[in-house]
Amino acid sequence: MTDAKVIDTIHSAFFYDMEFKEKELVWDRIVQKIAERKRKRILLRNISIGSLSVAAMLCLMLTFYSQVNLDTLSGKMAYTLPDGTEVTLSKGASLKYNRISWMFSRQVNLTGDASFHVTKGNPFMVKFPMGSVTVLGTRFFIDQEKDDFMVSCTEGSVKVATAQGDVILNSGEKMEGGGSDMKVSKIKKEYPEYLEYDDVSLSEVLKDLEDVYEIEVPDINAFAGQRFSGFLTTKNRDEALGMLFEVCGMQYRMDGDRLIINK
Amino acid sequence: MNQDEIGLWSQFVEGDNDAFAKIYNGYSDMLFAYGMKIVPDEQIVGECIQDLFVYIYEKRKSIAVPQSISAYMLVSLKRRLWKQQSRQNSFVAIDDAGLNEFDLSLDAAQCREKLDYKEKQIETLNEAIKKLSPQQREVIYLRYYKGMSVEETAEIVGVAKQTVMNVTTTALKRLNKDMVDIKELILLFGLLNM
Repeated sequence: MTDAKVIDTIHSAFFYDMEFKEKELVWDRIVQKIAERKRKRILLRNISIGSLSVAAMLCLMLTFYSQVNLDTLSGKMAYTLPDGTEVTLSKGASLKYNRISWMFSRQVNLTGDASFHVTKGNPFMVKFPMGSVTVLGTRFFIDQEKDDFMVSCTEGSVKVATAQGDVILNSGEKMEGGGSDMKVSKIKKEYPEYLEYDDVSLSEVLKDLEDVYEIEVPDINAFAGQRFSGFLTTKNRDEALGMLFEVCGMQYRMDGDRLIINK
Repeated sequence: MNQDEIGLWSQFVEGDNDAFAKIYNGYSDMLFAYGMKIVPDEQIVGECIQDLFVYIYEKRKSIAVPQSISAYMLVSLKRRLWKQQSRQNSFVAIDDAGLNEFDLSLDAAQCREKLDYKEKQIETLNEAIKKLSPQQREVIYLRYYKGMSVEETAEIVGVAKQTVMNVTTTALKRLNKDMVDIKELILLFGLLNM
């Protein structure tokens, strides 16, 4: 028998190669382990930045463990902070603060929408991705979209700080920001569904409608002599105007935002 | 390493997870079968394969591109198995030559079914293989059964190319002496059965 024949025999033979029965299982474990170690490394990296000394690391761990996260998964959630401040988080919003640093400064981090009723005391600061709001005992609301936000102040005053500069809002003012522009405007009042009038001058009624429907009535005081009694809806402009002028026996038409009345 | 292997490995190094999965799918069976010949323990071999793949994933950027993926993976697995072995039973000394055992035997069922081997032939061949040293068995398995090159075999076994050739020659001689020609045996058995 030649070497070539031996080689041929070995080559064509079947040797016992154990089947890798746990192939899938081991693969799952590999994927899991890689993900696990990635997470650990990120955490380790974060810690090592602060861990120039044991003290610093302890500090960091303390900070880490004293972190409080409040969030909502569905619907609104109301929380009371340690100082008695009431926060209502809208759906999907979350609020973070640190139990330890809270003792020195009232500071929270907000993502999403929330309204606050802050108790009096030290400055209260709300940080959000595009800026911050500092307040002194007041009611306000923060509304955040992707790239813009709105802060409205309903009581007291708040200071809004953004990359574009600072703005102070007084009660009844709101501010919209995002990008490079900032806009301060009056908060739109919440109107009841119907306005009720009992022998009120038509000029007063029209002034209300100017506010509600954001229209302009030229020479509005010319209608002071006319009186009106009844209900007007705040939900439908044409219905309200139709009703008003039918009762008064007058004709009207809209010219853009201008209400033209035929006397 | 052929073009496909080079492409696959460089995709993997660049962070392509599909390439990583392909490497696992393509090489883990061979690794497992080989590992079981060194340490016949499914659990240990499985764990070592797991560690090996986690390692190459994490170090992919710093590992030198292997000449042959198979050779690189087999050597790495073997080292891991040795380490695991020496950790588990510290009283078992592992000599520098490497293998204590290389468990190589015929798959009797397959040989009967596909090659029409008779029991006697399988026994003869198994006996002949058993008389080889573990290193000889490993070389024969890698070179003539797995079709590895002399270079790859040398890398896996951890010896010089010349040594591989010498070991091959002596192994073949021994096998030649101990093996009766399989084909003649078939003929002989055929006659006896008549």
